[in-house]
Amino acid sequence: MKRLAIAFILPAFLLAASLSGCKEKIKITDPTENLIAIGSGVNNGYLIEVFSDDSLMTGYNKLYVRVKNNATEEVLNGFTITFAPMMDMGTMQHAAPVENPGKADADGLYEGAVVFIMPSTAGTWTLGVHAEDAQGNVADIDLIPMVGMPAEARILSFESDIDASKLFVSLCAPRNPEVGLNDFELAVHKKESMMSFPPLDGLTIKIEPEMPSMGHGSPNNVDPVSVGNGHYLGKVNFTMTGYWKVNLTILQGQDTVKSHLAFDITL
Amino acid sequence: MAGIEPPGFYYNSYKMNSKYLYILLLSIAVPLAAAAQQLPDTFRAAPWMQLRDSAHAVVLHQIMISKDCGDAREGSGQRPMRSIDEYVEATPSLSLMSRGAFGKEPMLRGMNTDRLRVTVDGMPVMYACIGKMDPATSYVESNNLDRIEVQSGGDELAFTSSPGGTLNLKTLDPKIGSEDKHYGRAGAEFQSNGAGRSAFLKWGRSSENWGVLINSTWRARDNYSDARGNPIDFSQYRKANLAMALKWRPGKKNIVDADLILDEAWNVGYPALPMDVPRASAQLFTLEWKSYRPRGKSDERSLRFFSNRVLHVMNNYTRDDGSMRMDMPGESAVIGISTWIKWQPGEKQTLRVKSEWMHTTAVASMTMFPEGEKEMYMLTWPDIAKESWAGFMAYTLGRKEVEWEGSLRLETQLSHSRSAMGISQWEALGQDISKPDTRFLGGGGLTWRYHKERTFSLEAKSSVNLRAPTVSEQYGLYIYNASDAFVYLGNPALPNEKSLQISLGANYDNKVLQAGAECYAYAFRDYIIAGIDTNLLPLNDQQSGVKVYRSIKAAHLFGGNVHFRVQLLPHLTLMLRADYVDARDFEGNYLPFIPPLKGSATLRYARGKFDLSAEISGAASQNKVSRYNGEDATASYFLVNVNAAYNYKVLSLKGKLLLTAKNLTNTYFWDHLDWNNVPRPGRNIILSTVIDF
Ligand SMILES: [Cu+2]
Ligand SMILES: [Cu+2]
Repeated sequence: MKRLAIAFILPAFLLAASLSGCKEKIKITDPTENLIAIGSGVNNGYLIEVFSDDSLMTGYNKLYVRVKNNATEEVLNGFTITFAPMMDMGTMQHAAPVENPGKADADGLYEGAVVFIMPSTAGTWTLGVHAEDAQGNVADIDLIPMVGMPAEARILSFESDIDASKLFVSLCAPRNPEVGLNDFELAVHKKESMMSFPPLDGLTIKIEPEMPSMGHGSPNNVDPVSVGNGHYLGKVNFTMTGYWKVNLTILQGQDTVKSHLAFDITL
Repeated sequence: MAGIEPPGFYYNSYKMNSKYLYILLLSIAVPLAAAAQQLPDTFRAAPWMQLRDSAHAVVLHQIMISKDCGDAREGSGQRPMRSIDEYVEATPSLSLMSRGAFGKEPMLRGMNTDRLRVTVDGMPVMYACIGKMDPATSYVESNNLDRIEVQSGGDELAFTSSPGGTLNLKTLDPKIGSEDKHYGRAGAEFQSNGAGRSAFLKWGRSSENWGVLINSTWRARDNYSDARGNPIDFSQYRKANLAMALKWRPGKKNIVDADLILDEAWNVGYPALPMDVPRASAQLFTLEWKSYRPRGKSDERSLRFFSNRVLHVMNNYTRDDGSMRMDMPGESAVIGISTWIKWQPGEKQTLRVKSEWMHTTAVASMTMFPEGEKEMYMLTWPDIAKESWAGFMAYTLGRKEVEWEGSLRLETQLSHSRSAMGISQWEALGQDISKPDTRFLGGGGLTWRYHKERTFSLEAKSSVNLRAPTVSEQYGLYIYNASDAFVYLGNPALPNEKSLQISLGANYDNKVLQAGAECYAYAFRDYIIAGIDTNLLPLNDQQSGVKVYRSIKAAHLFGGNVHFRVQLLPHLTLMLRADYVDARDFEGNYLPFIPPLKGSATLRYARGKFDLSAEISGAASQNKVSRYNGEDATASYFLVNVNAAYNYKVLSLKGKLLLTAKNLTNTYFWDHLDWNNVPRPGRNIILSTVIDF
């Protein structure tokens, strides 16, 4: 009887052990697996690839750049990347705010961002990517990205009530809003000229979420505070799913830059 | 979550000085214990004690299988198809909180289901509605009811740590023993007001070692009219109930019981609320094995498994008040196992030990459909699971005419949210409910009983209870209260509510005269009640504001009732009854919904085939209006109800024909416990008949 039991149980154990062993094999994952390829180009023997989290939309878009030796496919980490977006609207041209990447991460990805201030329906976007390393090796590519319009606007542009300068406020987070407390991150840029959009720090931003169809807001929101590079970090609270409006008031010192601004967020 | 406090509120930082309770308890216990020392220690057989036990402890009478299966209303001359609500209302110390014509919430000694546990055959059944529209009493039919058992004053510790006691609906047991036979009863009723119609069919079969009983009921009523002839919209209901009971005796000393109740209600309106119920559904199941020795030193054991599920579908689709379409379903479930043992370590000493494991869940949500926009969804009960282990022990020592009983309950309760969204919703309110909440509950009781033969008895009871907050009180999210138009938020950090209760009861019964009186007092610490938080905003502008459940330092409640029954002439009986409750917080403010002073006088004449009765019942005006909620003062009212029953025989079948008039004088009224002053039905003539086979 006992032997019979062992005869059955032992193979079962061995089978289980071998199955669990299979799972432990190290999987080599591609860091760009969950990213969307925006485009790539070869220049001076270097392959430059550009990725993003989602398809490009007007507003703040994170971009990830990878530089490879085109012949050996070796991922190269020592480059400095510069973005140069440009829109050709026929009669005129303009650039867009950018956040140029710093050092490459462990996966060899250079992370930066471009704030597309218009969709591709208004003209043609060209995204120049310039890569340069300490040895003076240079590679330049131009991409023609397609920038769509999100269902709910992620960028607001307006003239400051103080000095009539043109400002852009883009919503960086939440990307996937959920019921509960969400990070709320804005990026503010100022249009100095058609070609220059520097970040604007030091503003006071107040937020007030609202559910217009019910007429209620939510408690425990944290107004975004300036954290540098034009970014402002706070918390927004959604107490239920549905259509929310996050109202914004922007101040510079005591003076109102703009009030009655709002992002629509449906979750 | 701090807000501007109404005066007198204080925060959870308050720590109960538990010494206070124990000193109070001791101050009662010590003199009583001293008195007991004076008694001679000769033991005598006490049939009275058995009787008392059977009357107040389910665990004991459950094994009394020799008891004839009887209809609770039999012999009262009353309508066999009275609803459970009508039955509850006629029981001393019980009253009903009403949101409409259906599923009224029972209250015991002025405490509602936040503190009162309602059970069916000893099994807790949790409501699935955030607005308490579906108390457990709405899932049992009166023609399947054996009796209503009320336990309080510490006796409830066998079943719950809550101080409000238990209301147990004991359903009919199948007959067993004697010869193999079928039996049954059919009945039908028609009510003039609201075209109420109902019918039931009961069928049973008994044999020497097994019995089966099946009971099916159907009820329907359209909108009733008040005494001024105005129809009360949304007071209709439809309901069907099927109950099956099986009893099996595998050996002389063993009994197995299985009970299944399936209840469905649909098209149920609630005139005092902005919502109706297209469907309310419950499935209740218990399976119990009992072992006993009928003679000598009893030694009884029981093992019980129970489970139930309640579904509550609620929406406002039928209301055309211009508000947004809304769905608010809820679901609750209970599963548990309990064991109890009773033995007699010595003559006139009884030890009862019970242990119980129970798992309950409650989830409820709200979905709103704005025109041309995405629907809005939130949880109102964030899928709360509660697991509890409880141990209960009671030791009874009888000495001649005096009996002592000490009891102790220890309970641990673990609750947590099973919903990530629910946890996020609470995070949004600044509270972390991701970790389980562990609580230690329970209590202890001491009872002293004195009896003189079977005619006179006195009882003094005291107990301390530790109650955990309910799901709504602890985890509820924006639950709308149609009485005060506030939305209520729970408070995950609420401390347990502590209470000390004492009660005194006296009974006299010499066949001609039966009289009873009881009075009780409760002192609460960390009393849980909702208060306005002006820092929080409601969900829409029809709502008055937000209330958050909090602990107030203290509250107290006291009351009493008397009932009296005298045989005036051989066939003429007079019954009188009165009930009184008062409840205040520590500053003397009234607590919500204090039942008014109520009374009734019934004269009954029963002779031969006729059974006639007339009742005057009423309530005094209630001006004890709570500032805690949206109630207002209520005027006094008097009602006249008459009932005539005629017993007949066709072929060899016995039957009964009843004509009843409720609110004969067509009084326009509502009770203080009726939400939003919805008038009660005007005159209602009811014709009913039953036939036994
Ligand atoms: Cu809402
Ligand atoms: Cu409901």
